Amino acid sequence: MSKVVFCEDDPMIQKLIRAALRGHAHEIHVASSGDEGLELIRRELPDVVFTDVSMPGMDGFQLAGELKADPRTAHIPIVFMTASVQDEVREAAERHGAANVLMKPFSMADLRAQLAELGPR
Amino acid sequence: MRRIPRSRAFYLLASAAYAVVVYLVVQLVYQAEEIAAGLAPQREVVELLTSAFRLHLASFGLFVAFLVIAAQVAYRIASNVTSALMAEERRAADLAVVTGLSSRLAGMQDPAEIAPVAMRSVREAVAETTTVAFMDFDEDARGFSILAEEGPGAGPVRGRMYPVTVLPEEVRAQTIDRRKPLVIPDTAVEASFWATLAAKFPAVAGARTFAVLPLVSRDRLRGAITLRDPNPNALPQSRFELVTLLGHTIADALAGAANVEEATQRAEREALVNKIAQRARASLDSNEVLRRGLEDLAGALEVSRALVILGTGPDDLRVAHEWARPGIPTVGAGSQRVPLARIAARDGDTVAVNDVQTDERFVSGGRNELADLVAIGTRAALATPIGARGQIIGVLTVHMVGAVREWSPEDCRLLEAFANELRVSMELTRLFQARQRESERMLALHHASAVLAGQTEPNVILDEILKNAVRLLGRGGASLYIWVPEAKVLRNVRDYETRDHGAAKMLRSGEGVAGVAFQKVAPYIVNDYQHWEGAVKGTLAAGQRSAISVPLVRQGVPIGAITIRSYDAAVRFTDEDGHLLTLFADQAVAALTAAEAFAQQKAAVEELERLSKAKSDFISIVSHEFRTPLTGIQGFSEMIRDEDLPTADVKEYASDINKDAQRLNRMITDMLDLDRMESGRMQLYRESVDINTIVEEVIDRVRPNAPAHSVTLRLEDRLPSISADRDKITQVLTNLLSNAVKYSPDGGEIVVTTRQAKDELQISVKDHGMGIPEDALEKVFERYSRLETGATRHIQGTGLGLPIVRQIVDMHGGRVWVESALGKGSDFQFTLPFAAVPEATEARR
Repeated sequence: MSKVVFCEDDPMIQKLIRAALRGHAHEIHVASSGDEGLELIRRELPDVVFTDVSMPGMDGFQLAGELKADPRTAHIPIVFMTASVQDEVREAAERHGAANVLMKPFSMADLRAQLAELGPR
Repeated sequence: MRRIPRSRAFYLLASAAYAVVVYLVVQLVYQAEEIAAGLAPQREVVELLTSAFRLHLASFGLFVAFLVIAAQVAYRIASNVTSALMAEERRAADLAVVTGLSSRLAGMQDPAEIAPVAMRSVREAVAETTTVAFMDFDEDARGFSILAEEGPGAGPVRGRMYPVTVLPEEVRAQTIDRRKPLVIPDTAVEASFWATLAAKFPAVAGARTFAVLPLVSRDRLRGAITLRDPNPNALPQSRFELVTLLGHTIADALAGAANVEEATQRAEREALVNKIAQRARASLDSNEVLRRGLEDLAGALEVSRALVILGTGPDDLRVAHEWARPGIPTVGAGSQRVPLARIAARDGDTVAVNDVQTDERFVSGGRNELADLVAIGTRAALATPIGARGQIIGVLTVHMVGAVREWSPEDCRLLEAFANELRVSMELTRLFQARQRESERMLALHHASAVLAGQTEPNVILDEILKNAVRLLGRGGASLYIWVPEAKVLRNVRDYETRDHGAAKMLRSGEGVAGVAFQKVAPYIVNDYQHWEGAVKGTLAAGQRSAISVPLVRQGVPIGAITIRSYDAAVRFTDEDGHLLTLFADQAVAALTAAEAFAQQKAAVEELERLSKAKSDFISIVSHEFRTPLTGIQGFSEMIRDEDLPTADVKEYASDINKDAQRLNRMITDMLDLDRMESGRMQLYRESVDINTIVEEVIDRVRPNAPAHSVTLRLEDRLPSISADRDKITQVLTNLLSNAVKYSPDGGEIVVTTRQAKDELQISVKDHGMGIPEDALEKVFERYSRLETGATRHIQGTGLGLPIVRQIVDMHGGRVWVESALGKGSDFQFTLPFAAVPEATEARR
């Protein structure tokens, strides 16, 4: 079971993720903004980070940049979640070291599969 | 020729013999008749003869005497006849000598060729002891040059030159001035004269007989023959006459040769003039014609220098072209030290000066008018004006350096012919250049058009136009003025200038050359700018000498002016330049108009592009916003479907699905509402509403979604109710409040105020969030504008909230605005009037 941090500003999606991962993750931490997420990740050092791209304040890419720049967090795989319809977002995500990208709306099965794949065996 | 005997004795003896024979025959016949008649006895013949003599001795004597007299007469007659025949024969012989010489000399054109033939004939005519010298007279040099000398006393004198001046006065007067022969039969007789001559010419000192025969033909001295002999009286009259005759023939031959030489020279000169003429007509570059022509001219005239001096008048002459023999100093191109040229230009005629140092016409009171020529070593000079179209445009001059020269009429004619050809050449060149300039101008105009055709940038177009105009019209600069109707000034918007022109940046109509052209709506030319009363001060200081300006006219209305200025006094603008510049001006107007149209079109296209992008961005954002609730709907429904959930969870998730579905619905509604409001298709359902109630309802709904915010209400009591659409006002307040929450993500106080102003309600929603930059305060109410700011991209929303607010407030006849400080928060305020607003107010588009 893995420890996971979610950064997502939409309360409904926060709730959805908590519900969907119940029993699939060891620990679930949810942040509503990038800044909050960064603090959380640094404290918890999770196995996987899921982050929305568009967030108030620090966005998902900036967050990824911070994590990759910090040796303590550089190794943590990051999965971006985005509702964007633009292809550039996927490219940008890959540039920012994305382990994967989940396009909203995504299925909970995909979400769990990502967690299983990226989390510790 | 049969000869008649000339001895007198012969005639006497012949007469005597004849008398005896006749007498004896008569006697014999007479006696025989007597015997036959029987009157006399038969006798022997001898007896008869003796008796006859005996009987008639007296009559016989008389008879003989008579015959002697007859013989004497016959002798006289024969003698005269013979001498007449002899004289005839000698003259024929002399004539043969002369005609022989004449025929031998016929066709000879070279004095050197004539000399030996002539010499042989003369030598044949005189004694062998006589030495003959034959010389040619050079008119130009005024001297004799010896062509040949033959005879016992001949010396190596061939080619030697004797100027007239060295001859003793007597010889000169006789032979040259009077052109008569000088014969001294015995020099010993005229010892004193001979002594002076011999002193000068030692070679002839030993002569006893001396003669000089001038050779004259057609009244011109061609040469001379001298004869000298060591014996006195060695030249009898008859010989001298023959020599004189030969002299005439030789003189004619020399004259012929001279004529041929002259004719050749004339032909050569004519050929030269023809050559120059041909060149002048073939070449359209008068400089080339001048350069090569001057050299040819100098060669033909054998002068040291040849100059073409050009100018508009006698006092404006400068050396334009110059040819000088190697080693001869030049006058120098551009030099104005050309006194003789000035004189020729003033007189309008050819002036020949054989010796510039002494010519009385130009030397007076110790002052030499031609001192400038003397200073550069010139001794003789010839100048002729070059005229064109009735006015003198220059002077052609040739100089002799180091030697005086007596200019011949031929020289003058050649110079004048050359000057005429120069005039033709220069005229042709001028015409051609004018034509060429015209073509060049047209070409440049086309070129400018072509360059401008592809240009839409007005400044590039204007620079190009100014550059081309300057290139074609002058060597100064150009300025473009555009009329500014608001300020009533011509503004200098563009310059093409290499120096500080000092022109005013602003001109009033009628001020400066551009102002006058603008005011008159016609080209305006000032060629004496420095003395023009309207000159602009700065341009005077900048050295402007002339200017031309034409108005820029669009559809008959002047919109500006182009001015070309020149700093060169030689540049004089013409009406033709005005026409040309007008073409440029038209071009500039066309280009400006096209550029303006292009700019407008470009702006329109850009606006369209901006709208199109905004729309596509909007769609992209909207779909993004749609996907967020869809994620919830899809996720929760997936879990309900796939998992065995307790009923409570199912209910909760279904409720969440429902909320997201509502959210989606709201978004769609917003879009449709705005679309309807903007297109005027939305109606207000007015009723009496209490604003404070609506505020409280909205706060109640928003508060749960804003746990971090504290909402303070400052609602004025007892506000009158207003006529408004309740749902729409609710929507306004909801949008403003949810914005206040969204744009203050860190929480803080949100203050909602309501109060009554004079005839309206004022409602304010104030947050302490991120604020709005000043330049976006109005923009935030524009549709899609949220999409353009970027800074708020992360905040959820359709970007339609505030546009909807404005539409609704407008429809109610109120106003909405925002006061904000970046980083400190925003205060959205709107008003709603109490007065009933006319029904179905059309919304703002």
